[in-house]
Amino acid sequence: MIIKSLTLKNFQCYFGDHVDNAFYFKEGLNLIIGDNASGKSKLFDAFFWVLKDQIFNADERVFVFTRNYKEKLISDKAKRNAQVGAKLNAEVTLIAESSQETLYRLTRIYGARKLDERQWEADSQSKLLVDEDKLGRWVPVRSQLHDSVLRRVISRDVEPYMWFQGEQVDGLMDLTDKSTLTNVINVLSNIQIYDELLTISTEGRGRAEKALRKAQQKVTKDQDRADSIGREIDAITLEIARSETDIEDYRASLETAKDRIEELVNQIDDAAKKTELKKEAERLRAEMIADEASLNKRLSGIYKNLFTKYWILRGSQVSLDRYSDKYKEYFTRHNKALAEATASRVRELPRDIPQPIHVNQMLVKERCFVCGREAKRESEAYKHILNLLSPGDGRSDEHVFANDGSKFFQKLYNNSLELKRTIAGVDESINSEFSLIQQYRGEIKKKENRIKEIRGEFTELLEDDSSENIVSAFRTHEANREKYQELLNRENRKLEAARVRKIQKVTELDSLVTGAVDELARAEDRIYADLVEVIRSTRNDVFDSLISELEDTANELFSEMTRRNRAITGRIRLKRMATGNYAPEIVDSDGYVIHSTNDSNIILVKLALIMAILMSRGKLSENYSLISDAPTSKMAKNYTVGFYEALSKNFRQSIVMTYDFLEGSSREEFSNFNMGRVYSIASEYPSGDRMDRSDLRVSISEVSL
Amino acid sequence: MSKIESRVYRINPGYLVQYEEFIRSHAQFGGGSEDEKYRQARTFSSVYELYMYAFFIGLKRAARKAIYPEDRLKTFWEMENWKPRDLVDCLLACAISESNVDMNRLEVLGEAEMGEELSKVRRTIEEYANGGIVYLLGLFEKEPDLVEDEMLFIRLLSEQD
Repeated sequence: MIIKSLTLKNFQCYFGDHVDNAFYFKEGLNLIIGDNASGKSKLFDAFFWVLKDQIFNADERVFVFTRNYKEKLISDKAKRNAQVGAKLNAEVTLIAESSQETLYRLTRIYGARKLDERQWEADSQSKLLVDEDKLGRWVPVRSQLHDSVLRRVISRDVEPYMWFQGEQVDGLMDLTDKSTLTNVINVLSNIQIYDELLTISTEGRGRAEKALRKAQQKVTKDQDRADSIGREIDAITLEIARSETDIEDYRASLETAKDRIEELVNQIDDAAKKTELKKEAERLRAEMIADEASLNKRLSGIYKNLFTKYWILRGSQVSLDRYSDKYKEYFTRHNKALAEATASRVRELPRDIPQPIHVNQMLVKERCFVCGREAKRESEAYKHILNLLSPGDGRSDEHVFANDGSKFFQKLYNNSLELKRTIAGVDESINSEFSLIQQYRGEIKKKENRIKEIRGEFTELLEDDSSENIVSAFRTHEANREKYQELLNRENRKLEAARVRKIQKVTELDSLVTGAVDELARAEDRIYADLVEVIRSTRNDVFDSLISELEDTANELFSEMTRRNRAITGRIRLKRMATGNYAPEIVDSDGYVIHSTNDSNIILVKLALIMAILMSRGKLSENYSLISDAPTSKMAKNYTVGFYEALSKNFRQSIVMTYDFLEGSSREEFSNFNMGRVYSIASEYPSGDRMDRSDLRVSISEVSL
Repeated sequence: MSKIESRVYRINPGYLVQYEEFIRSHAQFGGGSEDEKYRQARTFSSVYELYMYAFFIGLKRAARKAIYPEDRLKTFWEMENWKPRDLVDCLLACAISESNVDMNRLEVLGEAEMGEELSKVRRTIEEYANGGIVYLLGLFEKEPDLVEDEMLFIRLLSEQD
């Protein structure tokens, strides 16, 4: 909702009726400009009080409920003027407009009766009235719905980031706590839904796996073996979970070691040398990763070459030659047998004589018409006559050989001839692959050595600049980096091996199945496995794109805010930690973390991040009004204008209490901003005694732009 | 397809049961994509690939293990399912040449006798493949760290005869 107005009656220093203490707001940047003790913070309190029934106790620096603050809430001047026995009310009314252009009026009232000059009888609690504008008339909203209206003015999740005092900014975004940003994103985005889905689907996957195993064990041919495999699978699953936890720990430790090294390297004074070395080390590391990936790809595919490049045939040529000889011998004998068979047929009876019709008659009569002899059914003579009906040479060959294998043996012969040339080239192919692999290994080794040298050069630079303690810390963290990298690699290999073993065991269990396994159990297992992967990758994609969007927006805001002062050259980087968290840091143009950033810059970064979060996907900057008391209190003066400009451009409505622009001349800066209304407030003591709070009131005047 | 060809491709050779562990630790069982299987273990993507390798390394090293009727063999898949087909044909050509099978006799035999004659080819395949396994096991026994050499199998092939 957009806030249209805030009016106060006898609330703290705001003496007088609503009409005397009225602020009207528009979309854009609304400013309430006032000097110290002019009533700015009390105005911020009024926004808070009307919605939350809490008031900031300046003495104890905490928010307290009205019932504990009692009549102190009421204007001292009003209390002084009241007659004994009279009842006084402090009231704040906030009017807000929803996106549907419905107006809501929220009024909080708290009263106290004057018993004597010193004593008051205060109400046990404040009262909230909520009205809705219906055709120009205020109609009360049922008390059950009050809470939902309040939440539409300001959401509880967003409240700390949209309604804050300058001094709170530091606490809102603790950059030393690496989970801060993740927590804020969790609160302000829907990423938690994915986390919940992942938990549910992972649990489901575990259940589905067990159910499938149970179903497999029901129809197994070897119950004992199946039970034993089941136990092995359980043990491997535990082993995998343990490995995954260890990997997370090693990653976090490795990250810490790298951070510490980075911090120590930053302490080296020789910036040019440091940059040169760091860039070289980074380049070498990136190249090494690429080389290792290429090497692994070659190595993992190398066994395929045995079959796709026919390496496996190396050394088989002698045997294949032997086959050629054997085949030739076979071929000669095969053809000889064929020729002899054909010749004997020609001798016995020319193929085309007699005509088939006569042959058929011979079979019917069971007699040969050529020689006149009898040819009884099933006799050799009968079979001979029957063969005369077989057309073509092929049938003749089949007649000669019960199992003609000539085509098959010829195929094997042709195949071995065709591969002969390939086999001759196998040595060269293997050597070329080996030399490529050697080349990658050599490159990796060379780069590893150079990185070690760079580490030594860093140590020397540190020795020149720093105490023995720092140098020894550097060495310790470098040793840790190596140690955890090694542990991480080893654990990754262990995990991979355990996963392979699990697949083998699951397959073995499946091979023992004799009957039909419940299809539903199989489908459920497959679906859950896919679901976990899909949710995990979607969650990471969503989170990463949220982070990348956040980083871009924060940097746009950061550069907008620092546009007028080029002293800051850095940019905000959201660094992904091994734990999956992201930590914000300011880096210079070379990517070095700027550790010596002053407080003012840190506040700027924090504000940029808070604003970027509010502007991100949920578009909270569109739906809620940002209300802040002295947000620039810890900021260097020359960044304040940039901050207001960014606020005015990116937030639909903001209401800021500030001591900036006290000088009328500085207000020219507003001319290009998206402005709402601007008020100037000042404390007034009509009697002239500035120590007499019972004479205090606030004068409010609108500043025309 | 001729009777001889179909009978040959239906040969289902085996390995001696005592080599089961060796087979399991160097070949992938079960489904999954080819790439995934190679990546997982950096070994052979199936039992028949390992078996073919064992045959050819046995042949190269003249490592032939005699198989006796009382030996227990474990079979895995008929040769018609092995791939690639041209390599399988090469293996068969080698097995035929190294066995004393009479190709011409095969063509005139009845079903039963043909099966008997073809068993000489199957036996030759088994003798070289199991001989290859024995040779590999001997290497690992002598030098257990060889298991870490991801290029061992290729190196063995490329060694000069």
